[in-house]
Amino acid sequence: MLDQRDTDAILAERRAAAIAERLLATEGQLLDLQDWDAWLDLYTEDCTYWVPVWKDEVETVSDPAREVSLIYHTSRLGLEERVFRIRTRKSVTAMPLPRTVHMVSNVLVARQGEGEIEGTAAWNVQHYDPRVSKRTSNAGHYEFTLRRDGSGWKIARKKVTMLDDLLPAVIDFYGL
Amino acid sequence: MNQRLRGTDSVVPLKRKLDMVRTMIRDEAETGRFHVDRKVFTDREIHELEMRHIFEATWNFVGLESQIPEPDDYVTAHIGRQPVILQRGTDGVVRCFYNTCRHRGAVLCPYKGGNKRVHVCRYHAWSYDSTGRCLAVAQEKDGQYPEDFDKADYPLMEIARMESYRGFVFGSLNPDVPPLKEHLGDAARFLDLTVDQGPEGVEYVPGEVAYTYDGNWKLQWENGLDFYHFAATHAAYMEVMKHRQKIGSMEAGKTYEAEDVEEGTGTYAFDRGHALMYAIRKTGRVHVRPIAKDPAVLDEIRERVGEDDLKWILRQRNLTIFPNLQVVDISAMQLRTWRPLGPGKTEMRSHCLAPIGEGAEARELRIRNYEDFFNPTGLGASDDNLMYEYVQAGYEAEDAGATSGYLRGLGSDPAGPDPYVGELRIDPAEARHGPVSFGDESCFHTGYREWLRLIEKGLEREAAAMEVSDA
Repeated sequence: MLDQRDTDAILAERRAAAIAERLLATEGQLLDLQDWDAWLDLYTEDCTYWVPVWKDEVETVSDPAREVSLIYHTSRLGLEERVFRIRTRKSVTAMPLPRTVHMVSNVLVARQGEGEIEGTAAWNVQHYDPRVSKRTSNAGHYEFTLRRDGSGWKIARKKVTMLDDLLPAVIDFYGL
Repeated sequence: MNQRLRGTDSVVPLKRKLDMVRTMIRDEAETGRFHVDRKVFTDREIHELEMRHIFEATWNFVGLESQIPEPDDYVTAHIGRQPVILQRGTDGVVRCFYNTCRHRGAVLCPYKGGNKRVHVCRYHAWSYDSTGRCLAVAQEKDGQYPEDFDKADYPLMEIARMESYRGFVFGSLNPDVPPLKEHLGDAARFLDLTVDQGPEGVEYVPGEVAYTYDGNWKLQWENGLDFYHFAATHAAYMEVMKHRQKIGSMEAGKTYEAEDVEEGTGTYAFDRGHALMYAIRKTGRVHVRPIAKDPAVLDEIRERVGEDDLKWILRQRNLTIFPNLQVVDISAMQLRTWRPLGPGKTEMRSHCLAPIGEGAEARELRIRNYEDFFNPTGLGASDDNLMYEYVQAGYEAEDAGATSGYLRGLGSDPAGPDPYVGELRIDPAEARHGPVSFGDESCFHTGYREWLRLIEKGLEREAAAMEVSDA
């Protein structure tokens, strides 16, 4: 199938995939390093960050206005507040924070247009909580929309679908 | 209950257990003392007693009728350790069955919910209709069954008791329980204040959030009645709220209280373990209530249930119906229910509750408020969940002796008699109120009294049955 397209189209897709792979890997690295400001800077101010709830065995919720999500933010403020909460040094969820390793793979570009890339990826986060000396792992799928921002690219939309529907006592952005 | 006895049991260990549990709750509230042994949270034998004599022997919340509005709708759940199906029959009647095939015991319905006129067991294809009747035993004719075998004798087993209070369905595996209304007592008034928020009652907003924490179920139960922890445990959340106000990202909260009303918090304790914690706020942590978005909605409620009930609908109320239901109503309405998985592990199921037919704007505000605080991915409950784990870990320090977490509220009340029981039309076993910083803990006592009563009753019943069979 790929063979039937012209070389330019294939190259454009590879280029888009390379941009997405690099951006998602960078995001994972910044979360692992707990470099929150640099992480926030990867998102557009009007970004959507959505973690839906599994409605039943096969479907997640699809309408955040009428159904419950785990996280649903329609601007970067929501993410900034989560960072703010950690920085208050008053949330027991962050004292101590877990150590994480983010791994993103299977990055596929579904659509690319002028200054925009949409696609999907698979993610796995290894999560070690020094509080209880326990390692757990979370995994799932990303859907993303990236937008050109000056010379670079930013995340304009990210939907994080977790595999699990029975969650641990705490889960936050750094473990997704 | 005799079927639960085992041949090797004898009366002696039952009496020993009875003595043990009686030493674990030191109830001297009259003289200002109330202690709960740390083992009540950590001991496996206590956990077994709780499952058998509390969760599997009294009324448990199972689900809402509005989850299964149509004929053949069902949801699955657990009562204690036992799987059940809450099923509306083709005849429209709601029943609660054990979720197990009469043939070889397999879970009949492995899904969370759906609509089924006929349940067919996946193992040997015995089938049952939605009223529980056994429709067919596969290859019955060729099965060389005994002469007197009749599939009519193998319907799905209904649990001993099932009743609904205004759409809240409760079930008991033990037939020896009073009618639900009597069990709830005046705590039912606070279910009224939940249901009455819409002319057609309440429903779950789609999207159940389930999670576990590594701690005892009673830590959630206590926390849901505990105003005292808020300022410390949720200090980070309070900072976020302040930050939102500062940068103008949040609508300013408003009070719905009349000018002459004083701020304060208080509790009501009811018989059989139920309790309520309320807060009357004019400053500080006040919220925009979703039902107050539209004045016409408030008018409709006022018209239907009166000014006093509306006033209480707009106040923070944390209700506990012993042993497995809490309804919290503040910036959003949360219904949580739980199932102990062991002394140190609890499974939580949380729902956003909303009036049926609520307007789109109010509904969305409600959902966002709910996610903000109550989710394990939210900014509030996640701190609570970790505190349960820290308490559970700390309770292992058995040699450190009794804790002192049940004493606030046991002194004399300078505020005098409770001013609200009249307008609430309730007659609680105990009522206490004080300033916002009061943080009563004596409202937990009723639950521990019920805890002890049920375990004593269960052990005495077993001992009596044993003595009869030994004779």
